[in-house]
Amino acid sequence: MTVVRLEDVSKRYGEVEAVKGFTCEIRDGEFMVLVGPSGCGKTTLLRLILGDLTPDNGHIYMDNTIIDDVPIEERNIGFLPQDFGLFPHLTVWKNISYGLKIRGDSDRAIHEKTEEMLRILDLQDLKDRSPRQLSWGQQQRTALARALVIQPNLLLLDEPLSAVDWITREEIAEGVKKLQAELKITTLYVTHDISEALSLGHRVIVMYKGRLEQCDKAEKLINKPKTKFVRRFIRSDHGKTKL
Amino acid sequence: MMILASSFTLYMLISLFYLFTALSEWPLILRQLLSQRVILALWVSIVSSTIVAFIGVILGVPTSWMLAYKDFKGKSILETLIVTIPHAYPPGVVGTAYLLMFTTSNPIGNLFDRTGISIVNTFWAIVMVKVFISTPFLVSLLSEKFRSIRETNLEVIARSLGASDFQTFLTVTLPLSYKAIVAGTGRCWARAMGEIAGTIVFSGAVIPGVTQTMPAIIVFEAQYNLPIALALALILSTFSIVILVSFRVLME
Ligand SMILES: Nc1ncnc2c1ncn2[C@@H]1O[C@H](COP(=O)(O)OP(=O)(O)O)[C@@H](O)[C@H]1O
Ligand SMILES: [Mg+2]
Repeated sequence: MTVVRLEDVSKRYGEVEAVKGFTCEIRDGEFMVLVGPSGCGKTTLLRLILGDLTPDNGHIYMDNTIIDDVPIEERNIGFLPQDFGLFPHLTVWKNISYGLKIRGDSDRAIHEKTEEMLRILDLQDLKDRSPRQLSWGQQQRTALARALVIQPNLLLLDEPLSAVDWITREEIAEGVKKLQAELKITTLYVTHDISEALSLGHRVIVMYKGRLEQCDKAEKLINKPKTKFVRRFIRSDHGKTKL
Repeated sequence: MMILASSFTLYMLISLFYLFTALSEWPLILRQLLSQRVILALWVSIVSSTIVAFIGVILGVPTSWMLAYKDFKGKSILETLIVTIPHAYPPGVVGTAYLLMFTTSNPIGNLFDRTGISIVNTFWAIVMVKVFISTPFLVSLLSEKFRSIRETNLEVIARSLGASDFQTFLTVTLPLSYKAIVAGTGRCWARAMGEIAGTIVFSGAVIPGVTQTMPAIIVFEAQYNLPIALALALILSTFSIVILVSFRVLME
């Protein structure tokens, strides 16, 4: 369905160079993980792909078309920010159906697709609640449902698990991954946690100080780290990850 | 802190009422309330402040939106000019500045003079002073609100789900800032009701039913006849509170 390619993309905020000459490709249907220490530019990279920021340099391609000038609303990207960003003035049901309604789907189609999403993510009992009344995991599922219901070409997840304890974390991560595999949506999953990255990713991009250090399968990263930083970063995992 | 502040407000209100009931001044209040002078002044105050609140919303909402969402050169200077300075200016000085602006030796005053439109000593003088002094109350409140909404991801998410800029404004920004718009309009109106010095300087505030406002009469009376001034103050504050509260209730 969707291939995303970044070619020599750079972005600076005044003096800060947040992303530097970034080149990579996310393949069709792939679950790609982007990992790097906090402040290395992951969110900036995500916002560039989303269209909330424009690259100062380089180009972003979706299926071989440059999308630099395509506005956010025409990119058809599902986005989960770190805080989920549920609309506080809308119920769970209205949050999820928001995208369908904006796109002018028929009432029946909106109803069917929304109910289906509620079912898949096990949110039926919560549909009339306000986001304030949801637990952390429920908020996450609602945000995921809202992003998926529009059948996005690409799914961007910004550290969705950074605030969960370890046990639930693995469970949720597996759930997200299984759902992704089922729906075959090209996905970029951002985390600062190397263990999470190694255990989840189909392939993993390691980012450091705005640059791409290495993009490879997990085994390759562990066995053949290309840079000093990758070696150090992997070692900080303390062999926790079982491949 | 909040309890302290709210009890202070309550104390002021209660003492105002107490003063009158204890002194059995009800006939005085009633007589004042029914006098043509007071009815006209109340009318001028309420109508001018309501017009000001309307103008405040029309000017203030887009201005607040620009200040929060658009990044352009000279924004902080603009913000100082339209929010900070009007806030910090003594109202009497504002009135004087207007007066100077509308003398015939000033280009603006000259222009108005030649077109035959006179502003000084008219109802519109009151409106002009009040707009300058009251609108910043709405803008400072609302631009803060818009900024806090902008800091969330909500609008970006709405757009990623397919909403245009305008749809995003209608479905996300507006519902989330609605209360701040209502509150800001209330503040703008209340500030306009209370405005004294600027309006006295620029409008004269002596023509009943045209430029004479309630606060102006209160200030005049306070110098000669304190009981009447207090009775008028009670009438004005009662009207203001009732209108503000019903406005809030109506808008919710
Ligand atoms: N709006 C901004 N203005 C200025 N600097 C920013 C802004 N957003 C991020 N930065 C800086 O850019 C760098 C990368 O930030 P970010 O992309 O949020 O990193 P990460 O998501 O990996 O933690 C950091 O040094 C951060 O301080
Ligand atoms: Mg981040």
